[in-house]
Amino acid sequence: MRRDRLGLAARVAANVGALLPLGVLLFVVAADRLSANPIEDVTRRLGTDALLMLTLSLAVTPAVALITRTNPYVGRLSRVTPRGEAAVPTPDRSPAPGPSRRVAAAIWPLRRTFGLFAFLYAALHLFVFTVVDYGSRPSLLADAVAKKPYALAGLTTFILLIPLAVTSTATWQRRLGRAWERLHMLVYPAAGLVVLHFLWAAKVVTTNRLIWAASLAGLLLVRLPLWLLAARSAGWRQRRREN
Amino acid sequence: MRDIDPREITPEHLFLSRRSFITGTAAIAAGALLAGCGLGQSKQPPGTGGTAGTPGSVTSPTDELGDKLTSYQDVTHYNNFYEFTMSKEGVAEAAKDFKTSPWTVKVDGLVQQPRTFAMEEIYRMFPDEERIYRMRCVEAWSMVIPWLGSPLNKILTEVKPTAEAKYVRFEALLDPKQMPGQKDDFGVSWPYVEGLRLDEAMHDLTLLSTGLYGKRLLPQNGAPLRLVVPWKYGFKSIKSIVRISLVAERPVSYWTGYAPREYGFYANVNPNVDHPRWSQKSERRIGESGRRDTLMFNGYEDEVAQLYKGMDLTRDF
Repeated sequence: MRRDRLGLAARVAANVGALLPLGVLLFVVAADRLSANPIEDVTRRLGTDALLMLTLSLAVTPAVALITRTNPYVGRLSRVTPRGEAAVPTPDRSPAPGPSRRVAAAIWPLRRTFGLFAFLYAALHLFVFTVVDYGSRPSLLADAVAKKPYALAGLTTFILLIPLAVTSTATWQRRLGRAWERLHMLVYPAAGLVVLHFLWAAKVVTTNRLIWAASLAGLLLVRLPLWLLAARSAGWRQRRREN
Repeated sequence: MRDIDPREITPEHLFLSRRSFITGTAAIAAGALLAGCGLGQSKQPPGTGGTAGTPGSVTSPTDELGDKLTSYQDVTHYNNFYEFTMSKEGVAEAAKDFKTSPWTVKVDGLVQQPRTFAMEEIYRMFPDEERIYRMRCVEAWSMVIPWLGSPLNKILTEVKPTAEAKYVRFEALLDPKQMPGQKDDFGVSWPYVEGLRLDEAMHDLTLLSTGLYGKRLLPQNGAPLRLVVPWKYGFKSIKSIVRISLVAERPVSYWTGYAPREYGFYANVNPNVDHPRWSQKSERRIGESGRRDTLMFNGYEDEVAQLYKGMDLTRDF
């Protein structure tokens, strides 16, 4: 089946691509090409990698909306595939052309792929910060985290990602049903907090960091009209019928 | 508080270098005339330009606390110099063509004898001595650097400050053509400005530096002339100075202008006063793994604490 082959290709490409930053990092460490402040360098690289993965994960839904010209939030819960994943939404009126639907179906599972890699890089980032950097000095770590908003925002982001990583399997998705969708909305506050985290951590707000912030903000904002339309077409109409 | 042995105040290597200065006066005078390099026949001719180069000789492999010198490579390739680039690893490359000669430094303001010095005059009039200082960046990393230079008080004495002078204002070069970083500002206009209280400026530890590791400063380190105030965060040590003015009003430092709540005028290294967004209790020493406790006044408490007697350092941070 062509569709499955496309989906497989997308997953392989995404996994390989998502492992690349780790490969680069291992190479840089092995080749002794880190900066003069190596722990800071590794921490910063892992943080950036986590940020990239989170951004990619959040880009999937808008991309699918764009490709299929449908609202992924409409009726998604009613269509769950045998594997437990929410199916790619079918357009209500004008049927989308075949190829774009196949592409959308192929990239739809990448939310999970990139989401899990975001969790992996965030976990490594936190590991380097807590164990490699402050491991020998736990009292300093407590001081660095407790009083510092950037560290608290980062830690909270990671904590928010934990249940999402744990419940990322098809089994959990089926088991939780509608609650799974609600639970995974935690990715939105996580994205907001991570922006605060990296803006507060730097001495000055650079253009580079503003681009990251704008990308994440943009990916959240494009969802607003989709949510509003979905809410109107589903919930409100249904409530009116019930009344 | 430890007891102070007078020998601790001036590190041993300085005693030694001063002794060699005295015993080798003739040779040094000749050396100064020939090379414009000041102290020591062991000094190599000044290195100029570029990222390349090897360190010259130093008088001690450690500072007075026994901390090892940071490698020449790291000292010259891990720099904060936003006028060139915000990438610390990129400054050496971005600054390699920076033109540091001819260069003059205007010393003016509330002085009896304002004067513009050519760098050659500064090299000649204020002979280099070596000072091995710890440098603590506000970003919580640190280095140990063997500077060459002369106490700032010598040049200030030369121009004779008037009684009204209360502060010293330093100004760095403004030249966006050579310093691409100056094309962007962060809400504070270039050039970089710094300031010291007059008594801080007159303190013997405050160095006007022309070199490090036995050689002339490279562009990335603030060539040809920079300030070094070892008990303050690194950003106080302004680079590529073109003007030093004695003034009555407290100057607004570049970083204070950027974020007054985060970067105060004094910027004394103080583990008990955190940056509002991160802890200052510890630091990473470049070249070491692990963390070190940050020392009060960066380890120069005995020498400088009296400057701040009676002040609330939490407020005057």
